[in-house]
Amino acid sequence: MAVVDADSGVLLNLTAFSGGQPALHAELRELTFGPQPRDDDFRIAPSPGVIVTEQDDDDVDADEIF
Amino acid sequence: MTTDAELVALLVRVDWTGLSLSAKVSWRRDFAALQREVRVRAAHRGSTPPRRSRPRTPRFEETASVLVLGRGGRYRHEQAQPGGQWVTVAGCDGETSWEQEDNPVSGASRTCRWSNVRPLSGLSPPLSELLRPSWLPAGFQLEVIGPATACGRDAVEFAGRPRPLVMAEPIGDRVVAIADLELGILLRCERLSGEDPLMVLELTELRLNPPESADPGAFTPREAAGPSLMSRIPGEILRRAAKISASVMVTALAAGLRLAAGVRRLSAPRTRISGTGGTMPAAPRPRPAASSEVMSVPGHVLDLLYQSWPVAPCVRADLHQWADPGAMAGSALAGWDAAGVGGAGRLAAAIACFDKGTYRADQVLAAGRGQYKVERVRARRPRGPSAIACDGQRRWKAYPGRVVVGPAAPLRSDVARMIDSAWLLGCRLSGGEPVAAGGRRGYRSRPVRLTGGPGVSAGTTCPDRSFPPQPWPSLTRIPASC
Repeated sequence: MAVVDADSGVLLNLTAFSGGQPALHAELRELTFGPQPRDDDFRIAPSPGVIVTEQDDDDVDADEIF
Repeated sequence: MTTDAELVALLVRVDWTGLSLSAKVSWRRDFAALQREVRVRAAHRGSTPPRRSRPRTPRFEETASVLVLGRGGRYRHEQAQPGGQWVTVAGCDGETSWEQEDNPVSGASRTCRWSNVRPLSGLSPPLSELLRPSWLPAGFQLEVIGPATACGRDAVEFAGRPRPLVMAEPIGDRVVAIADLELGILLRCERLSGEDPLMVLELTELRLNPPESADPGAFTPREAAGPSLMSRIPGEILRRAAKISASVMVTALAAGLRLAAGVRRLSAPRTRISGTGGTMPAAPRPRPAASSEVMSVPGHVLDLLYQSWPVAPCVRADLHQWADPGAMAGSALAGWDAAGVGGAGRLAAAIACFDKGTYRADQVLAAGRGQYKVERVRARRPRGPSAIACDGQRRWKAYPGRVVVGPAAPLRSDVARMIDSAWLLGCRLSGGEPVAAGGRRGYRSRPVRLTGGPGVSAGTTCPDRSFPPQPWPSLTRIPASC
């Protein structure tokens, strides 16, 4: 089941069922649209003492959230 | 002149099960260009490119095949194996699909595999890249080039570029295709990388309602000339062997899960969750979609899904997600248990006690040009980086005491599927009625994932190979419908 926002087209919520039972539910809340932010807003500035490493072939966990 | 909206509606409303046609099919590939594309993609995502192998000879390969399509989901697709005497034949009688290999020289035949009986809506088409073209609006931004003629039929030519959020790694960076204006199917589809053609799949000599599609015998396998190796083994022995091996496997899995659950109970306490994160919100159970409801959503909802991103320079939102692993695994294993596979019930019970459900909340900031930042706010069981950001050139992943920096990469798929909803166009959609959700106006639809075909990712190297759509990789490996 999916509910798409009538103004923007983004999904407000999405429910996946397995055997009639809800197995996954996702909701977008506090949805706002605005002007383009600064490029710095899309970066992570490491705190002092934090180790910074270059990505290698083993860094594949970006999609593992549960 | 066809508009973009008319093109989208044409491509997503194709019902291949209602077509009756025959065609010759040509599939051409440039292996040197494909190998170069694989190396470029590996370098782009920061991983080690595959070793440069010897150039494949011949560099170009063309595979010819013959397709007969009958109404009711029936088909026969014959394809000569490159360099071999055997012809691979894939078919479906409207309920059961099968594959067979024929040797035209000796007359021998051997049946390779059969599927279970499936309803019409559960069948996968042959040549799905052409016969189920909804993968294009689901994963590409399309642009009409103009009217065209192919196979003597009126058509429209259009180009597509991967949607920035949905498409992780398509083959090539551009698609140029020709769609039949009456049938909606693709008559030609070419993948390109820059100006280099990678592969072309096209129908030739298309005929509608040919006499061979009226012959029921065309859609069943030929009688095998001699027994295959598998058929010489008594069936009861094969069934017992399959049951025993499956039973051993699920019992071992159940033991492993119990052990893992025990270890987790002894580990550090879980993050406390406050607010609404505790339980999954109740959702109305969906009505099963009848075959007559296939793609019955109104055109303005289809257009809304296709135009969903980018709708504004920047979107901010909180994303809340709940998952119930037990529900996902239970239904699949119940079927095994009913079939008498020992241990399936124990495995389902082990999964159910392993975790009653998981929850996580993220703050999301996303903009065009591949820029985003996703920060974990709460999680019942934190996993992966606590924050991930990309400025369009570089990507940062934050872990406790460590930050990993690498080349730009697509937005996490669980976030991307909410912000760019075009992937739903690759599903069978019904509904579309107006509803209110979270104080906003919306439209509710019931998507059912289609089996087979390129799907949303469309990252196929072979037209008939099934790839799971990108929006579901880490969250729902098991459910087949939603």
